[in-house]
Amino acid sequence: MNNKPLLKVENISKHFHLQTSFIDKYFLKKMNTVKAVSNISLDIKQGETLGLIGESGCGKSTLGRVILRLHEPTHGKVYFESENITALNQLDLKSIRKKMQIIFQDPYASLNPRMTIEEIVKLPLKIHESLSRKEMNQRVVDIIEKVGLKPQYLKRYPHQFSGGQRQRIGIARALILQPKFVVCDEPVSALDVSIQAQIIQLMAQLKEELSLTFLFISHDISVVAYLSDRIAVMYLGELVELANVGELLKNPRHPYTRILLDAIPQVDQVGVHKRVVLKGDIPSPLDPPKGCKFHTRCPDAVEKCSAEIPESREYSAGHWVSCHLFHNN
Amino acid sequence: MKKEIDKNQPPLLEINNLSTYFDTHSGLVKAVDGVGIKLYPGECLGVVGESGSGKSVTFLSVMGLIKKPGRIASGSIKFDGRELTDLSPRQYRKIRGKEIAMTLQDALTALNPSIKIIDQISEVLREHDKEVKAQGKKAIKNRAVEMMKLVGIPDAKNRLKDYPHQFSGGMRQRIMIAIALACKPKLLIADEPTTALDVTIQAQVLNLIADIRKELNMSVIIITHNLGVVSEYTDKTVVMYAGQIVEKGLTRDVILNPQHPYSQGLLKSIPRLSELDTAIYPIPGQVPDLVNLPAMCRFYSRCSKRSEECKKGDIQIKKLSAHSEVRCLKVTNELKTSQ
Repeated sequence: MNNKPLLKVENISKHFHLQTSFIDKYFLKKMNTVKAVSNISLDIKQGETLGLIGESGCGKSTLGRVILRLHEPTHGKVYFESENITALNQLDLKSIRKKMQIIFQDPYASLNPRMTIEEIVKLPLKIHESLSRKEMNQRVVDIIEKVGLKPQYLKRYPHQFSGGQRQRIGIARALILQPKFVVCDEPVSALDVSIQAQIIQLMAQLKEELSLTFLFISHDISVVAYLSDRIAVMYLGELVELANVGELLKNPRHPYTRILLDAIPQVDQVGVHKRVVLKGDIPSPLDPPKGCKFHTRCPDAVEKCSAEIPESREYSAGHWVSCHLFHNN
Repeated sequence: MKKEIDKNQPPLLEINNLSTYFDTHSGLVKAVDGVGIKLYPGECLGVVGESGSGKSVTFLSVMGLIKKPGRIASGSIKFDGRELTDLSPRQYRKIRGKEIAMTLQDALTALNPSIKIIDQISEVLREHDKEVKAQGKKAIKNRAVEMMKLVGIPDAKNRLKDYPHQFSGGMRQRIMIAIALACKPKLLIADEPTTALDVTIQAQVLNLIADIRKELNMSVIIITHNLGVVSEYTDKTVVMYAGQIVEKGLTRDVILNPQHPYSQGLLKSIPRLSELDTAIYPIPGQVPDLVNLPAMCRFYSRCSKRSEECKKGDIQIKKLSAHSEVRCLKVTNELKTSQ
């Protein structure tokens, strides 16, 4: 791993405007806006796996999609290999898309049931590369074997495969263009434990072989920790902490990270279940709390937390925290 | 949560050699095949297995909720001294919801979307709790509010007339638990109570179940695929694979010293936060198709210790010690040689 960032995200925000009736618009009623991602900056180094964790609705998938420009960002810039991809038009974007791919969560919904495996995996090649039919077929067979499937499966349809095999097909489709950067959006969440381990191992192995860079999104912290070099923690659209895996697990600073880590039931702790239980649910992103968004559930909140938004600061080398409690030192 | 279970009491639930089959177009599916489980009052049992292992079907059989083309082919289910498999539907209704309650995996589909929460909770009370029913509508409502408070729904009084979609996932799961606990059952079966929930909410729900269990001295069965949940919250564990129990024992033994190659494989295949540098070892292959299974070890194709003898006939479950039983030829062989 070298230190050159492959991807740089600068103050990115994504707001979704909810559908309002025309009467509301006419009377200039305030528009309902969900701030799914607000003001996030991070970079991902060449050859690195950055893990992104957080609870459902915290905006982690949205961030992944904004980075690929599958959603247009509301504010901010994304640089890929030093090129500002948020400024590109659709035509120029196409050449960048070849290098950036995505693996989806649901292996059942993300494959077209009417296409054979061969058609599904070949489609990206047809769109992006001008190859002869023979070359194309060879590439398809190569990648299918690489993800651990047999070439004789190519004429089958998605419903003939199990969840784990379908996820392998999704991985083959993402990797056939030989991308540099892949967003993995909860790729193992829908799978059984023993199959999950197969896919995790496959992804780790492919990453080495093809020198890929991953943004690995998941709510399963053990899986993220196993695969990642650094971990970013999100809460209600904001980045609350970012650090190396070892550092984050040993020295979590942000109260949310601490509670999140403590809440995971662990196999080695037989019969132990004393933990600080976080009270309440995630507040509605339609009406997030003022100040630090976590202050409504934070056990350590002080007065300042409900008034001021904490800035992200470097607590120790490479360990970024957004919390007032750590800004006094 | 740890406490001494009085083994002199008769078991609350005793399942013997239970088989539940489904007659399908492609053949006979032995979803549950010869399952035996004993549960004492106040105990908490974890049932682990992957999808299709028969863990849900086993307990739907206990609840008497198996519908055609499914049928309980053989075996007995004894609950509190009574045989459940012989009960008529009418008799079953008197037990279901009152003495045994079950919460289902997906709380949104399990609750009726068009009925107010208050009515869904009080329905159980009206059906089963004659005492409260005799005191009139107001008493039922008060009991329902009490239940909602017990499971930690904030502002319960003002949310009685809300519909399920107005609650978050964790809150819906709590409402299901409130319905299940309304009649203070002797046994709570929680089918994947936390699978759809985030970790912080998962901890809330599991701690809630643990607290209520203590308070009511209730037996609890947690069906899950999360080994961490089993390890932290249960006393005994049953591991299921392809419709059979492959290993059972005290949770401590099963988690820290698993005997069956499948349990061992399962524990090696999960990444652990405490040992990040330890590699994970996936179990190769897939769960076998349950249609027309041959008479042999069901884990054979994925097992690292397999040999020719594993293919000769069904494998019987064997007792290793007072608490543990394992369905594997290799385990007993190894124990014999080491003794």
